Amino acid sequence: MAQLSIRVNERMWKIIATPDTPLLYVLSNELGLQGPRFGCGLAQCGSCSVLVEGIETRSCVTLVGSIGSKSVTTLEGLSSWFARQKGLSKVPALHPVQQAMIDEQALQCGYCYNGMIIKAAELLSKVSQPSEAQIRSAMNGHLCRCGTYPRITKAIQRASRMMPEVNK
Amino acid sequence: MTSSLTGAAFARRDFLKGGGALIIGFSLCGAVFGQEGVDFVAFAAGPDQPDLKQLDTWLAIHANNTATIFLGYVELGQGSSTALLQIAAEELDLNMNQVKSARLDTNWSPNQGATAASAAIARGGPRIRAAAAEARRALLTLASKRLNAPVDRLAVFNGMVSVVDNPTRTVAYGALLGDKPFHVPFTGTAPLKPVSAYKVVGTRVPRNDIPDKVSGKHVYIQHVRMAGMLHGRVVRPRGQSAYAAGAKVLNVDESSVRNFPNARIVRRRDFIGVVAPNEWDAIRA
Ligand code: FES
Ligand code: FES
Repeated sequence: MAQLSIRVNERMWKIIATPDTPLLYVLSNELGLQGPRFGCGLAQCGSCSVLVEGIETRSCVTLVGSIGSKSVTTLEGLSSWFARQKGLSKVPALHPVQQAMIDEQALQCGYCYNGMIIKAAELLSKVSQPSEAQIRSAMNGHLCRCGTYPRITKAIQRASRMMPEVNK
Repeated sequence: MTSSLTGAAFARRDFLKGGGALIIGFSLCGAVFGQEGVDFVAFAAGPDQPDLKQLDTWLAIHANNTATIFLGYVELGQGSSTALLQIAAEELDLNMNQVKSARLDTNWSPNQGATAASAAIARGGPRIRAAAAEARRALLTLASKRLNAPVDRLAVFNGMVSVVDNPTRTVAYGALLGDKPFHVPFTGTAPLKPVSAYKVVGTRVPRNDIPDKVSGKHVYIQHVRMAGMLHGRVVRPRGQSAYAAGAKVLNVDESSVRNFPNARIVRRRDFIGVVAPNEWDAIRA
């Protein structure tokens, strides 16, 4: 066990953990975050995804010791991350992707939606108006057992239409 | 350990058991709350679980003119908790902002059997509908006395009861029964609203479980944390399948976990597991 510092959702946390602990367990157990969640533990499903320096990363196979000074963003910190990225003066309650998921009534159990939202937010941060093919290929590594893929696609398209508005 | 523990205090729990009403105040600190907060005040307890034959088991009317509906089916993302609330709102002549459901708990939820086989609406819907209709009838009886008008001269809109030809005479459900139990049996005999008069059922209502799920506030079972809880992992000997079927355990080498001083081996006949306060320790051990 060692004392480590990590930056999560723009806050520094001091935690006691062995450096080989997967980041996911630190986020859920030490930090009490409920966005990233265990699905497969094998980097196969994406339900544990977080952003590390803006890049979608599977926290179940990312060792906490490898994070160093990099900045981790979870579902809970996504709207602040978005506001910083877009230079918004006010942090919206939800990231446009989260709002679009509600508007489309996309999810069923919602277990996979942490990863869906994180990945879609990453995609829209790079390509603000993705084509359907771009959405499909970006979301390819995220599994939804409830099979809500068509609505996920629609919600991402809806969110992408909301992006220019927030730029104003 | 930061945790998702929240405390909630119940103002009162009303036991109808054994005839006399026994009022017991208690608080349930350290309980785990996943869904909506629970601020109901009254429900009927049977010998060991809520008595399905009492109206208070099914719903409560609050002083602020809202209702809590006790559902007996789990919301799994199928949307039944929203649909059942629509059914209740319809019969009670409340709007969707005036109804909410209590988080399921064997202490207070009506036991309606398993949530499976598309039964939540098929089996649960008629019960909720009948209970809400019966509650409306009980409320109108109270309103009739309060407004000094016969029940068939009363109309309800959003929980406000008014006299048909004198709309200035009104009383709210909340004022009639706010936060007090009905204390009446659930007979299932109250007349139901005709489908032709429906305003809420059959309309599109956003699901009430979605906002918390997209924001990370919904507590999935993987994030349930109890004080003093240990994390565990099952150890399956080669060839053993679920419920310890197949391979039998001959012996357990306890020294294999000695690198994890806080980990302990748990054994129940052929079932073996490892528990530890730290999840990663349990996994590695
Ligand atoms: S839990 Fe990490 S990808 Fe499935
Ligand atoms: S909504 Fe249930 S797994 Fe995707």
